[in-house]
Amino acid sequence: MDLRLIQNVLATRHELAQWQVTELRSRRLERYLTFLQPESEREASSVSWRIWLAQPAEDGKQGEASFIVTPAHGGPDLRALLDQAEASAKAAPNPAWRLPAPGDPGVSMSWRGGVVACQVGGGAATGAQMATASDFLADQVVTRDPARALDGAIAGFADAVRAAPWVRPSAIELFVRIEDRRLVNHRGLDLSERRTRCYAEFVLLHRPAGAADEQEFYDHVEAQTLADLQLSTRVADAAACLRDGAAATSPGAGRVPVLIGGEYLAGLLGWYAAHADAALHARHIAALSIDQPVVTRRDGDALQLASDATVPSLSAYRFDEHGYAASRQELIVDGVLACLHGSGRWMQVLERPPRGQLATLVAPPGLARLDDLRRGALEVVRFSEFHPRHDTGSFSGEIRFGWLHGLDGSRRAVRGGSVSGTLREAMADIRFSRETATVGGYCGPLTARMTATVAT
Amino acid sequence: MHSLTPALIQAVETLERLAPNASAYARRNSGTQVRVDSASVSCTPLAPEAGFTLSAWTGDRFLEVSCDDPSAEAVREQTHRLADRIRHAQVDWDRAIPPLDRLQQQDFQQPLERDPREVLATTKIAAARALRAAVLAAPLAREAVGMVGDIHAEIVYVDRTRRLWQQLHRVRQVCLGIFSQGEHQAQLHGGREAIGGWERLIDPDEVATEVVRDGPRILGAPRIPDPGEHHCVFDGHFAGIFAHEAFGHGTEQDLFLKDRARGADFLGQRVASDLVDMYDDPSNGWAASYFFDDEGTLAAPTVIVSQGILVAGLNDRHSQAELSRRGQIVPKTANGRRESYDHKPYTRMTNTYFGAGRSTTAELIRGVTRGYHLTHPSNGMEDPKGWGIQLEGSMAEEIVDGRLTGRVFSPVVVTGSVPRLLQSVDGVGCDVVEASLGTCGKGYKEWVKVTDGGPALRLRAVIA
Repeated sequence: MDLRLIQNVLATRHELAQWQVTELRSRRLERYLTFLQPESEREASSVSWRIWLAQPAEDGKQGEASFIVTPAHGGPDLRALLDQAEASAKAAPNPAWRLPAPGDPGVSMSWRGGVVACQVGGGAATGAQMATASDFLADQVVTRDPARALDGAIAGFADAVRAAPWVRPSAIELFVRIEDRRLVNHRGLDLSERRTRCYAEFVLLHRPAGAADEQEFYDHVEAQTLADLQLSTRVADAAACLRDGAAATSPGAGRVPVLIGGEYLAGLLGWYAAHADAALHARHIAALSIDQPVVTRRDGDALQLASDATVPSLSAYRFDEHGYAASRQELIVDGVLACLHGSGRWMQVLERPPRGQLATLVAPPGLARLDDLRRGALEVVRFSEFHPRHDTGSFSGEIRFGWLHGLDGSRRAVRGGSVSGTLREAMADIRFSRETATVGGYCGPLTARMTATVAT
Repeated sequence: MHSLTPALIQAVETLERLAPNASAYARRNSGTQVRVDSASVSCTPLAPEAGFTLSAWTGDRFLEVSCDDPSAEAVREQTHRLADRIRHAQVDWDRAIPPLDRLQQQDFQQPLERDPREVLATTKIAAARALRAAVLAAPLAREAVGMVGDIHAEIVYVDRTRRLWQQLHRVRQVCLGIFSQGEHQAQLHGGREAIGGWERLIDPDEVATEVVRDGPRILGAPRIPDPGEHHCVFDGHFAGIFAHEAFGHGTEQDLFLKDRARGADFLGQRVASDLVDMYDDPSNGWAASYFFDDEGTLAAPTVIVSQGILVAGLNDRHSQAELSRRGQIVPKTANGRRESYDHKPYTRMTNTYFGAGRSTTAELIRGVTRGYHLTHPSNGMEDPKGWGIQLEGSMAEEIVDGRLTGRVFSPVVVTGSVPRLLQSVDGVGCDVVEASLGTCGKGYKEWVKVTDGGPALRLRAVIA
């Protein structure tokens, strides 16, 4: 099975009005260590082709279907799957829309770059055509020699742990993935990109002097490059939390100023991006309305959010799932929902120009320094789990570890109890830090101060 | 996949000339997901996920290769590739993992009266539409999603003593209601999964009952006015997620190897009130059941907590062998599971639940002077080292003087210490229910199918 065969077979299906094929080739290397000793080393490679097809539109509706083909399928399987997909499409009428063609507004320029022979040894990906290593989405260190890159990252982790002799490393899992994506459609679009994804999770242990039980600090992070994992910094932060947090106590209950940062802040702001999705607006179930305020401000900073596929993060892309080019979209301007993001499908249903799916969520830095925001506030470093509910924006999380900051710059460690609230209330007086960070698919203020309820 | 077995046997034999232990695992997933809402209809085959993994234990580490081409030629190619890696590794023949016993029965199949793969797309879409219609009958329902799915897995496991094959089948009905009034919006989902074929689908009105009943009730509901410790009654579903997060994750023995589970020091000790029994059982017929785990161990029940005493943990082959090597003899359980053919095996739960007690739910509620009845759990998070816990749900109904008042609060979060919560249990219901829609991650990845469940529990918990 290969892309050329799939394209040839699709081209003979004259009853189809549209089709698109997304080829995804991936190579993954994984290292698992316990107490810095290797436990497992894994390699996996795969290739798949996602095929989407549509029948001619009638009365504003078109039948659609999609399926995935893998190397396990042969030519006869492909034809059988196409027959099934066409039968499914007949039973699945959807609002009509069109795949883009090269040169359409907002569509990515065809970019195949130079191609190089894939260096994957063995397996289905041997000999794959891959995009050049100059792609801005890829970590060149990883693409050049992923095994060596992993070894280097593990050595760096071990060095960081040795620099904090009061902790011992329980476990680390470190993965790298190289992905090559190619998109072709019946209108002649042919795009490709290479990206890398790096993932680490680690656990450090520490037994405070005189304590019966050890304490652990768990951390996990995913980024585009190994350097962006910032493993040494994260290990140092984790070790400091374990050392200084040995005597952690309950934070005390009440409505208090709380600092929420990193992935948790990204999750809170992501709620607004989720409700700016054209797919929700097409179904009339979005909690936000276009051109309407999304926040009732009291003293807080104005909310500004953009989707920008050109800002490096896990959510950056060269082209979206249908081939629309990376661009910047100002989603929320001065607290007002200014535009929607979404796939070409849903933007066309809403009769809006497609400008690409949600990408890196970008927020501008705030005015306040982090040290100023911390005064008199509870700063949560780790929740057990924390994300807003999709429907109401309510949020809750158990405090796995945090700092209670005094007005004089002192701090004491806290653990236990929960932080809860609603976005509606929290955003009214939110203040963003001047310091910024890139976390997952978010690039913006490192932390924010808001008012929430602490229960113990 | 069955036809791949000879090539996998050959691979294991080749690799065991170079390393103390080798095994092979192949899997092919298939199925369909149907989804209907107001703006779209889809009937989509699930990602095929077909492939195999060859695994070698060198005496100090596992070396594995995974490939998405389940052909004999690819197996041979990957065997050479893995063999080459073994030759470049240090091998310690004295640290072999003891082999499993030889088995008589090698092939297993879950029952399938009407194969969903032969059901027409129009029929599947009609089933999802009926589910959606059932939800839309609720007051204040603004939108509804109906989903119907079928999932099939064909699995081969080969090592020195076992050449196993199983076929697993299950069907799924899920509905989501989106309710709105004024500026308020609320979502609630419900559904079920069951082993078997199309014949296991049930009346869509029955699937949607709780969503239709409770969706409008949580719409605009405030959070509880008095966060803190309260007398609570968990319904069976809420008890289930509690079981899963408490001493499900807390007794995964791959965490014992990493000194990440406090439970390792509490085997044989009291961790709960003597009313509490807890089990993990991949053979009980619930939706996460199988005949053998992804390392060839036959499914069997594990008693985790008996009358409040922590009696056993869950393990995969490596953790059980390594604990034994360290002098901690623990019984082997069938909990070595992979997310898919190309993921590492970890110790994972299956069907995890509290055992039945003697009270009705009404009797448990009658015993509460002031408290809350917690239902519709949504997610949870474990902390096996610190024994903290977080459980979230969509609804808490007030109890005053032994009666539900009808005042509803949403959402609700439970936090606290696992043993403190378990030791506060002073009433256990008599009806065990299965919460069959679950999936479980190891940390934040490695998602596998699980279920949980239990009877209603009465206990004291910190809620907000």
